[in-house]
Amino acid sequence: MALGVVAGALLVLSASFVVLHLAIRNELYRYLDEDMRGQMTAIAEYAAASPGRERVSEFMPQFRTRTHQDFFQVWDGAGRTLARSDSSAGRDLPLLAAAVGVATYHDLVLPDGHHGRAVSQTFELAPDDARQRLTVVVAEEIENLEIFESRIHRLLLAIAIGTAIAMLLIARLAVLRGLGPVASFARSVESVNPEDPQARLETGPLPSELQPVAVSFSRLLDRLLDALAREKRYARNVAHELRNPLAEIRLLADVGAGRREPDACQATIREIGSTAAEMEQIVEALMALTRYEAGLESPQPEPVDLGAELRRHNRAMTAAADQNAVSISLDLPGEVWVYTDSALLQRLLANLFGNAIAHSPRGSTVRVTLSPDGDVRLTNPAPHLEATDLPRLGERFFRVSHGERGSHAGLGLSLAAAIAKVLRLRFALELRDPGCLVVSIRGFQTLAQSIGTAGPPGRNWP
Amino acid sequence: MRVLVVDDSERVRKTLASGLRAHGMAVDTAADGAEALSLINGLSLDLIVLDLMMPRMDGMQVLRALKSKSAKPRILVLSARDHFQDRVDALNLGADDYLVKPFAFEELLARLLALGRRSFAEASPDIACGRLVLDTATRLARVDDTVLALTPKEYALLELLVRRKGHVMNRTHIFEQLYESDSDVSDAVIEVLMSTLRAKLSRVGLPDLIETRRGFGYVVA
Repeated sequence: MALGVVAGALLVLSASFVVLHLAIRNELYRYLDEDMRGQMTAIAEYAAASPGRERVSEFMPQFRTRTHQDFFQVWDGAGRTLARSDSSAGRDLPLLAAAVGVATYHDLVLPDGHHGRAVSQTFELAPDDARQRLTVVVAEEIENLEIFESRIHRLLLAIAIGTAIAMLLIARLAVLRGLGPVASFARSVESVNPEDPQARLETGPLPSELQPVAVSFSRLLDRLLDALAREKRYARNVAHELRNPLAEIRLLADVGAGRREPDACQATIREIGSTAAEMEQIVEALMALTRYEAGLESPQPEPVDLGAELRRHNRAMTAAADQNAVSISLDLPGEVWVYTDSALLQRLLANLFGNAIAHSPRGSTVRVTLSPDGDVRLTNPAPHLEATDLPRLGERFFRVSHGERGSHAGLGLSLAAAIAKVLRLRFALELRDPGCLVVSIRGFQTLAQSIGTAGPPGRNWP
Repeated sequence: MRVLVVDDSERVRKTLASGLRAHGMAVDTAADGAEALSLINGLSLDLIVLDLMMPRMDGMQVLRALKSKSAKPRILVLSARDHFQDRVDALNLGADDYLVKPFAFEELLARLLALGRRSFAEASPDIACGRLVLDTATRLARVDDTVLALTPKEYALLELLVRRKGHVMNRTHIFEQLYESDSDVSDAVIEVLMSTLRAKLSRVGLPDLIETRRGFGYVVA
């Protein structure tokens, strides 16, 4: 980066050097040309006014012999030399091309062999003047000017090189100082251990300009680490939860292989089938839970009659309830229309019904109530639950034991809680005396609320 | 050998108990740690097969509760938790072995038998008693080169008495070692077992291997 800055600066300096060189040269020569033109005009006016007395060197000392740097020569219309500077030492300047009224500038070699610059112009005389017109050439040696110009160029070059070196050092220092916090941040990023769930980025030492970038990056990293942790947790949970049914299947097969009685063999095969089915349910539930927790499911709200949904689930779960000798009591108003995702709601209710039926004692009743505001409540006897179990009920692998039917209630409830979260509902678990688990879901948006009217929806809703 | 299987899965409990009983072990079961502790306190157990993740009281809590006990059964932890830290924690809390689910029943059985041998400080699976040799790994009894055709309970009875050679064991004690606590049979079954076992021993020339001490019990002298 420092080299890039310096290369850019060198380019600018080089361009500046060329511009300065041209500007200085132009200015010097403009000054010189102006000076020579002024002298030429003065010589011409004097010569025009003093026919036969064109010895200008008498009052313009720079044209005297000693200087050998300034020269002039005056010709008449016939090309005869009327006057020349003493410094010419009798040698002629070249009669340069000249136009009337316009000064023309020339670079030339002077009679003394040095480099010079000259200006020439033709001046019309009065009609009665026998000389007809005057052509004046004024020349000046420019070797000293070239030496001066060369010195200025060397000085400029030295300044440019010095500036470039200084810029290189300053740029490098500035880049190092400026990027120091970034390098420190990079080291902080490198030191993050993805295996450490508490790993976080240090953004404190960064300058305020970089803080937004660092904070955004840190948040991104947090999300990535959370996702990674979620995947690892999922993999660990799946591995753990599948080991139990796998162990059961293998144990049934190992022990069943030693049995000769056909009935025992058939019973073993049935048990293996049931265990495999339970395992399939666990896998399916875990995958759904992961999708919900990862935010991969977005609700598609539509008008849904909650009362009808609860009645439908009651009918669907009758066989399971009969098998467990559990009855279901419904306390529902006629219709309660809400605006929610129908498919997710069905899954939520199926989990809650299934959970309540599976964990209720035989001969007990699961009570389902629905308020006109759309609050759903499922109450089931849970004598096996203790108050200390309640905070862990939502854990997906929390197990409860009740008589002969020990199983993990946590998975169904955590799945229900995850769906409720997706649907932006309030999901609550409560243990009431005597030993009743109450699961409540609140926060459904009633259809009246969603369309901004207070009136009850009619029967024409789909 | 009397074994307690502690697991919250009814299927595991029943199947494991069935498999172990088929190998002559007396098996009791418990669905959680609390029930297991009450059984451990009330029964004379040789081995415990202990799950870790259970409701009410998990396996680690059971291990902690038993840690301070000087005399306790050998414990094999049977868990789906496979992290090395779980194994380290369980072994540090007093478990004698750790097997991760899923597992082969034969491996579990072999480990339980190995733990049983360790209880009696036996270096080899073979227990010799005169001409009689018991292979505790294959659960076979040999007299010279003749293999005795024993039922699992007969073998278990013979192994129990041979392992406690010189110690008189009464009928109740033998029954507790051979039958689970909720067994329907009475301890009179020991008399039946003893007679059939003696008959088989007589056929290979060992009619007096098991002596009866009237009023006290039975002993392999």
